[in-house]
Amino acid sequence: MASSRPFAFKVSMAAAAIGIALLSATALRAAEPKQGGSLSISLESDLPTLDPLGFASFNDREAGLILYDTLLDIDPKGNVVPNIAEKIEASPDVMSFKLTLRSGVTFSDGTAYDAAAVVKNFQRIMDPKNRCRCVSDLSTIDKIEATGPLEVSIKMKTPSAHFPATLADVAGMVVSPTAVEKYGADFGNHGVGAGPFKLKEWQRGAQVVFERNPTYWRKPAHLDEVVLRPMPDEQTRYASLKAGNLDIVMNAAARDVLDAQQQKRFQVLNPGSLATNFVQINMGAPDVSDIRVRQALAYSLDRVAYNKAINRGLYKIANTPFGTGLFPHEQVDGYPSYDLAKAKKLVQDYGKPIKIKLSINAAPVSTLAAQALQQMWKKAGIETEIIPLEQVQLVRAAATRDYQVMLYRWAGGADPDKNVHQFFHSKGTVNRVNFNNPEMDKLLDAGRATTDQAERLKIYRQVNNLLAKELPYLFLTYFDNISLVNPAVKGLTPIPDGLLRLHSVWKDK
Amino acid sequence: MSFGPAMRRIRSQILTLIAVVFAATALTFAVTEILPGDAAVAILGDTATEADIQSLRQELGLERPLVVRYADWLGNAITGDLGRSYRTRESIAVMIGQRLPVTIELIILTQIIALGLAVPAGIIAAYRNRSGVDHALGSVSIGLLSMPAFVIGIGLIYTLSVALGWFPASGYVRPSDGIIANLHSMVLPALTLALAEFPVYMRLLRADMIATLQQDFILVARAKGLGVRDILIGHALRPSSLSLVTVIGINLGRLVGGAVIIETLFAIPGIGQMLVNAVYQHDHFAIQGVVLVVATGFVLINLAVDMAYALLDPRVRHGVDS
Repeated sequence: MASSRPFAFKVSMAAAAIGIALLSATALRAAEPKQGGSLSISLESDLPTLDPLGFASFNDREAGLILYDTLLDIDPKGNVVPNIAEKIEASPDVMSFKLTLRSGVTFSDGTAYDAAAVVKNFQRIMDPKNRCRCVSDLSTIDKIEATGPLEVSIKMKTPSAHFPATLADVAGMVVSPTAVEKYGADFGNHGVGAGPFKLKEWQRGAQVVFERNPTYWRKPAHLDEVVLRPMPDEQTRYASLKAGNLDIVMNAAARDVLDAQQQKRFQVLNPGSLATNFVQINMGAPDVSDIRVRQALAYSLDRVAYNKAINRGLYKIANTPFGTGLFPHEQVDGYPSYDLAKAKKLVQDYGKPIKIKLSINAAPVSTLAAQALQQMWKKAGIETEIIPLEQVQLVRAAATRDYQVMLYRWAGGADPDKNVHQFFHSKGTVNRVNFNNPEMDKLLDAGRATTDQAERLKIYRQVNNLLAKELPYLFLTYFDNISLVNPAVKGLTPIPDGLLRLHSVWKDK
Repeated sequence: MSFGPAMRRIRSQILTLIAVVFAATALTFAVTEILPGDAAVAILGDTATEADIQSLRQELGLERPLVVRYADWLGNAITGDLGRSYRTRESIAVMIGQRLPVTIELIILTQIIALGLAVPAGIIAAYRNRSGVDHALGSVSIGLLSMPAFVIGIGLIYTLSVALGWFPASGYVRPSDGIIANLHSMVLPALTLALAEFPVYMRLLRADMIATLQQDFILVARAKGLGVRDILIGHALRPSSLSLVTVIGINLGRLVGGAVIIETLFAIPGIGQMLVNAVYQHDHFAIQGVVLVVATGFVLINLAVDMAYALLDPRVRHGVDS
């Protein structure tokens, strides 16, 4: 064994040299895309459905982008850009919008894509019977009508500057109305849209195979096929990439990202994020309802050490609820940074012993994170009891505000509004932190009432400052959706929502 | 030959089957109820409001008492209706129909590989009792026995797949897409499970074989001048395999448990993976369906094992009391 090592080392050095030579050779002719090939991507679990009504997870939304095109999209910087809607115009009071649809788009079953189809799609999502998870994104809509063959007018109940960005996600995925009619409740097994690929075959639990949509409105995709493979085990996903059985691991674990960076065998696609990890505080719960306690909790968090211990230093420390892909990212004054002395002083001022009950997801990584928090708070004299809950139970506890302090994560939306309005507005549908602050309500409503970017930046900066002052969230890190990609895969554009747009991707093989 | 005892045994086995299936499904129903969280939350996700959750719970009938829901499920199950998945709206019977053959293939391949390794190894270890070979096989089996299956699996993925590239690291190919490709995709998961079973089989056979080899009829065979191979395989193997057969039968049940882990590790779409997903998603009917099938299978296998005794041991077949 020991004697074979130097030999193996030589072989691997030789292989590396050849690899580098090959890589530089391919780089030279990277310009012209090759046609054909099959691209396989791992999912963390099987899809529940191909119907956007049932989409929720990262996996579902990726499948959605393969099958359906969204009305609008976001670019690498997070700006809203046209897609199968060519244009969206807001009225000056942001109370109505006019969508101009792209001409020459057809659904993959041949159905015409027009204003009637888009109106039907909105109505389908908004029908409470359909229980679309994205229905809250469209909650400000009052009335939708087709005002031309390719023109849709939308009237709002309240100003809705956040509306265009929601059309870059599930709420903007347009399904074929004929297919909906044809399949009825079974539509989720067929999924017909106007995206770059269409469904070829779904082997439940094993793979979903999509084939090129020859009538795609851009140029038809280079790839023949895209295969989504549910692989629940994290280690298997990375091992399969290494063994060449898989082209892309989405949402890769920090450990694997670092390994891939060291080995330089794979492309590391980091599109940034919309999302944050944080500790949310129920402001109505004992002890933590006092601002001194929340401040003590914040000042005693050494988040650099935390990030090193939990994420191997991979992610960026967060001070705002807005990821790198959102314009108010890190636009904040005075979010508490680590200061143990200050924390101890605040605990002393408070006077009573502080007992924190920290609810977490029972997964091993959350347990480690919670233990790190527990250690740090202990140094400031705060006792913490960790309450591990199963994910579904954690969500329920959050929804019913049946917790004191909770380690949580929000995947983030393409407009800043989606990361704050529903959570911090006193009338927010999922105000889990019992946040009730007239100034915040005013700011959040103002953020919806103008489309002027500079004006909105000013508003969300004030939102950040107010959050830093009131501390309903203790921010930990931003969460980047990093993909590890086989070097033969070309043409991927990093988009901060972490999802892959595959219409112009090709394989150099 | 008298059929009396055999018939009686079969009748009592059928009664056992009914009792076991009833107990297993009732228990699972109760346990699923204790599981924190519920299906409505699993379906609606993390932006659901309490009102949404309540209304969906009503719609799914989750508000009714446990006993009522179980009776309802049982009544439907008896008529062959296993319900639909809360999450995917698929028929549970269809889901199981698609996934069960995958798990059965995995288990059969596992048994073939495990026995293919354990029978020769057990015979050699018994024949060369206390030799270097015996000790080496003993150490290997202790090593394998003390390793959890997923550790063996990850070890095999990194050696046979990532380093050597002999087998795919994960994934499943249907037999209809090519038998060879199908077997190729199943070797690693089956080998993983087999290596966990191998030590048990090997050591059992070895122990029984050592005892058999000391019996008079082996001495007679030797005296007749039969070759080693004839004695070991022709004479000693069958009488030494009774406990092995019992354990193979019991192990089939254990292997379903192993399949839960291995199917998840290797992304194999069998009922083990289905069960794991169902538990995560609080998909009660899916959990119940899998438990029903596994419990029934377990009892049927034990029945088959009982019958296999009759083939192996004439005393059982004839109802003779030894």
